[in-house]
Amino acid sequence: MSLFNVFQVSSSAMTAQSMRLNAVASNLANADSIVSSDGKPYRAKQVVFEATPMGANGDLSKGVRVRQVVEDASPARMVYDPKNPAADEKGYVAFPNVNVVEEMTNMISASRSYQTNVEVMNTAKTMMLRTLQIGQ
Amino acid sequence: MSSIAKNFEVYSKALDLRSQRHQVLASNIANADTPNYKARDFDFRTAMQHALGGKEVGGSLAMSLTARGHQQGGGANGSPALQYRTEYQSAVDGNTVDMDVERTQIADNALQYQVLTQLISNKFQGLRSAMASSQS
Repeated sequence: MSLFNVFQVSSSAMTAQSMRLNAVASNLANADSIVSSDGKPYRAKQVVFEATPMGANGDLSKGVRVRQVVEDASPARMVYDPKNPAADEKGYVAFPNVNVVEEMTNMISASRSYQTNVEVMNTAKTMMLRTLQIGQ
Repeated sequence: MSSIAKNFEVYSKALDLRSQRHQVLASNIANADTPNYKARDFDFRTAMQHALGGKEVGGSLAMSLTARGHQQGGGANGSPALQYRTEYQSAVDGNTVDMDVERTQIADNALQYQVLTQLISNKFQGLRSAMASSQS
């Protein structure tokens, strides 16, 4: 039954959106981490989505998968703070390139998309239950 | 095909197309945040005409009889021709999924599906009462 494919598609989208939310959480948590494990300031991470065919119907249903997690290429935020031990010779400290406003909008977008996919899944479930009630 | 089964032919084909359409719409919503994804849909009227005419868009799927003893098969129901949706507002990432359009289409499609299941139930009831009246 082709309606079962909807569950696959929607759940793939929910997985992708929760990975995006995960990236947002780690970006916001590390918004002020001037030293990460490699000694350099933390760099914001972004997930890249990709449409992927799903199920036996080929072209009809396309799910989502996370193709890669990329590091934000924008330059580090330079803050003048000569007392900081991480400051360079001119007194500047490199802060992570996390844009907090961008991350917050990303978070809202991810949670809304997640909700919509749950709703699509519920609609598919209602349709299937109605099919089961035929003839009763 | 027996005459009882013929009663349901139109309904079952319409139901089939409705569930396939739900799949397409679910894929659109799942890929609402995928860069360069183009929203797709199919025209229900043409798809229904093709399904009832027994021909699929990509050529007939009916099996050919090449040897004595081959049985005439009904031919599988191919998937309808998908088209791209016209976009009203363009996005920077090349995505053409418009959430309002998809949401309304999904609601409409689910309702039409329920109408069909109700119609099939009614048809069954009619057949049942026709059978019962002959016994008394």
